[in-house]
Amino acid sequence: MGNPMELSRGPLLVDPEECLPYHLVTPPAAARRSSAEAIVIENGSWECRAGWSSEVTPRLQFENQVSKFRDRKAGKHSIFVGRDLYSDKNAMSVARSAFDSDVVTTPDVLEHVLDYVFFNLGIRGAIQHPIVFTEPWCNPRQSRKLTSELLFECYEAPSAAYGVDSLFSFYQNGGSFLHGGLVLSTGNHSTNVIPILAGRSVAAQSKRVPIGGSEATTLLQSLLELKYPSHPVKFTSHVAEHLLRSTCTVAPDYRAALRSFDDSSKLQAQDVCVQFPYNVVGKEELTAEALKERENRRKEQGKRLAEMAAKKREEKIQEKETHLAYLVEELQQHKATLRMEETNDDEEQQKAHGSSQEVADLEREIADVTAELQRAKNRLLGIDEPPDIPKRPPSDLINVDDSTLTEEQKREKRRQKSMVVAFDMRMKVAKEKEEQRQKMEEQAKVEEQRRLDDPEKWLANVKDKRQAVISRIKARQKKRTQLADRRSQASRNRARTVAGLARDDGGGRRRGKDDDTFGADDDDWGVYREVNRDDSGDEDEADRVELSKIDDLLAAHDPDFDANAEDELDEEAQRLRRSVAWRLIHGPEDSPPPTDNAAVAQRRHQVHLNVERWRVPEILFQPSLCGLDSAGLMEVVGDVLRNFSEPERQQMCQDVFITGSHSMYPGLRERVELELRSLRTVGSALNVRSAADPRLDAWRGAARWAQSDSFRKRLVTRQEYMENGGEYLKEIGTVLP
Amino acid sequence: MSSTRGAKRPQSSEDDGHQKKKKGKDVVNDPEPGSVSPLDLASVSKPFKNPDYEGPKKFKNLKQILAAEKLLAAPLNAVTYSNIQSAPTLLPVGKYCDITGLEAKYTDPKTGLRYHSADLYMWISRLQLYQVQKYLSLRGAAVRI
Repeated sequence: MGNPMELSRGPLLVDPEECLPYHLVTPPAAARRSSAEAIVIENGSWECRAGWSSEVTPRLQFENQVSKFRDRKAGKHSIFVGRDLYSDKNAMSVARSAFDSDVVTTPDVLEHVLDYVFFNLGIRGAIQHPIVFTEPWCNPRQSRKLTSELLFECYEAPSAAYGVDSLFSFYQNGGSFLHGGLVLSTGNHSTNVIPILAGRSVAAQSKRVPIGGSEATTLLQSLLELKYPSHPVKFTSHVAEHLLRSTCTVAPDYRAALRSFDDSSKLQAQDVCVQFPYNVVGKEELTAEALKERENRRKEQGKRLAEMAAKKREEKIQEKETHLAYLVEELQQHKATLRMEETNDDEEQQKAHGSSQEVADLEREIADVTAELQRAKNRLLGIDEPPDIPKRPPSDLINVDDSTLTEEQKREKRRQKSMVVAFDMRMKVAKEKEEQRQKMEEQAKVEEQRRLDDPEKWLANVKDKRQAVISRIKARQKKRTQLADRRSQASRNRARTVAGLARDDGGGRRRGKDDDTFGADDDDWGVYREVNRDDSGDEDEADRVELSKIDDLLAAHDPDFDANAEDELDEEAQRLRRSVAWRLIHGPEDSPPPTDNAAVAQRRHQVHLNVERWRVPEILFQPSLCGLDSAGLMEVVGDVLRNFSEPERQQMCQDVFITGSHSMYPGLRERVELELRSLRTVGSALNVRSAADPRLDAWRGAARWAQSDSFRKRLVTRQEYMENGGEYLKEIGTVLP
Repeated sequence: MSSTRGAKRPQSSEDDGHQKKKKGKDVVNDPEPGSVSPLDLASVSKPFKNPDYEGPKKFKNLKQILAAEKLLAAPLNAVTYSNIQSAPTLLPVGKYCDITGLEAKYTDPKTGLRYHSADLYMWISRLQLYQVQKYLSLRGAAVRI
């Protein structure tokens, strides 16, 4: 655990793989232990610590989690405890704790934890040592009964005693029960305020705030998930816990601390950049040789393709030639039969007529194919052919009177008519196109002239136009987003219009019974545009084309123009970039986005912690920050003190003691002192201190107590348990020497 | 914090005077001396346990335990786990920006989110409904849908 203040410089490197909970298993010593030595188990809902009462540190310290599962493949049960359960994926997913909040509720899980403890303490026979066991403040009787049953019946312990971890820590840190004091203990799920007076704790006046390390971790985890929704690193509770312990601090004045974030220089000082490990998947640097080789390869490939295309073209010409030959042969055959049939009688006339028709068709096809062939050959030889000048189709029969024509001629006349009409139409369209092109050119010329005449005005004009197009696009965007929301005004208007269109009773705006003039005004049809949700696609497309044209113009004539800035198109995004939230998320430095792969990956794997560093610990003082309506720690302390007389208050304020593994925040003691001073009368004595080692002092205190005489007096033997039941305690374990 | 990571497993037994084997089925060899592999508790012998003990089959959760405790014929002023719970706060609840955590001057009437500045209003208006709900649920103000 480093000092968070030192971390404001340079990124804090955090590897999620390394963020597993703390785990210590010391191999048992060979020496044989006397049966007077007690086994001390501090059974916390976050961490379990266990060891011998004669030693200074607990031999075992592990996360109080168990996973019991059946490996289907291997067909065997496995039970893992503490860190070991992270060695197996199956184990991780079924991890359980014996606790509900900070109270033991499932003894079968606790049983595995105790197995683990006794096994790792090196016990290979019946337990012959007394056991000291910690429990939460005001542990429900049922829970104690479950634990006692386990200790005395399952493990057949000779004797056991219970105690409260925070009071053990007070005892270890030299607190005197006779002189009195006020213990503030913040653990994994709860924070207790325990007044101590005249040799014993005043349970009736104690209070519990349901906030602890696990609440803080959960809050930090969800804050990170919301702040970085698409972060490549998963914010597990272990990562959050690590960050909580290494970066979070308690502010002496929370509101003042928040206000300081408006000042970007202060933000810089308070921001902690957390760097997660990342891999660079970069393009390899290419040497000049490799580039040349690549170029050669590309050229060769191009050549090969060209060759293939030429070959294909030749094949096509070949094909056409054979087809042509076949057609010519066919034509000759037809002509021959035609000549023969001319001598035949009238009945065959019809057939012959068919034949002559076929001959005409063949001739036309031959002409077409020949022309095509010529074109293809020209292309192959690289000859530019003169542009096709469309010939007007023959129209000799059109003006002749029907009565003078035969049936066949009449048919031919009809054909000619339609051909001529189509031809005229085509020519008209082409002419129109040409005219339009000319007009555009003229316009461009005029525009160019205008630009040359008054460049400034022209530029302003073009920019105005661009703005108009952009605002049109934006308005449509806005409407689209509004329509996506069912309750927006735009959606309501649309629904109203739809309803009006559907009405038949004449009440509708458009569909009056008598005066149905719908369509008289062209704008009437706009109603369908209004009704249609997403028809703006084409308009958008057209506007974007226009925008790109204008951009090209501007790029050519305005040296200051930068189309890539996109500031006008997404002005909102620009504003967001300048907002506080952006600075809090992406860090206070206003550096441009990195270009090379490594820097991009590095940025992507970064997290900036700033407001969170104060916001998360603040839940201890303002539980409303995480959605609880409970009073905060200092409000509760004030309430507790109010229930005592002034001399008693003075006595307690002589020794305000902060402990618990959630009390690791720097600044916590100062904050408590500051707020407590404001509760007390001016000039009254106040001494606030923290446990020397908030994590281990409870265990150490318990171990020390286990060597005292008072411990022996309070031990409940197995015999007594059998007689009195699991809820039996001597003096409820809170009176210490 | 990580100085003792990967500490070694117990190597020799201390009280190996009376090796009392439990029901034969789940008793396998103790882990090899010096092994750092994870300890599977199902595969070690546990002579310190009463082989005939069978724990309760049904467990109550904390809520049920506390409810049962209330039913006990205890004196009214008895101190229990549930009655030392702190009361709801009487102090005015601070209003903080749901997005940034800074002090909130404004509340968006549409989503109910509190926000710090006009820039953040834009931020809020871009949020999806589920994101709004997530932000609100942080301070327990989300509507359950």
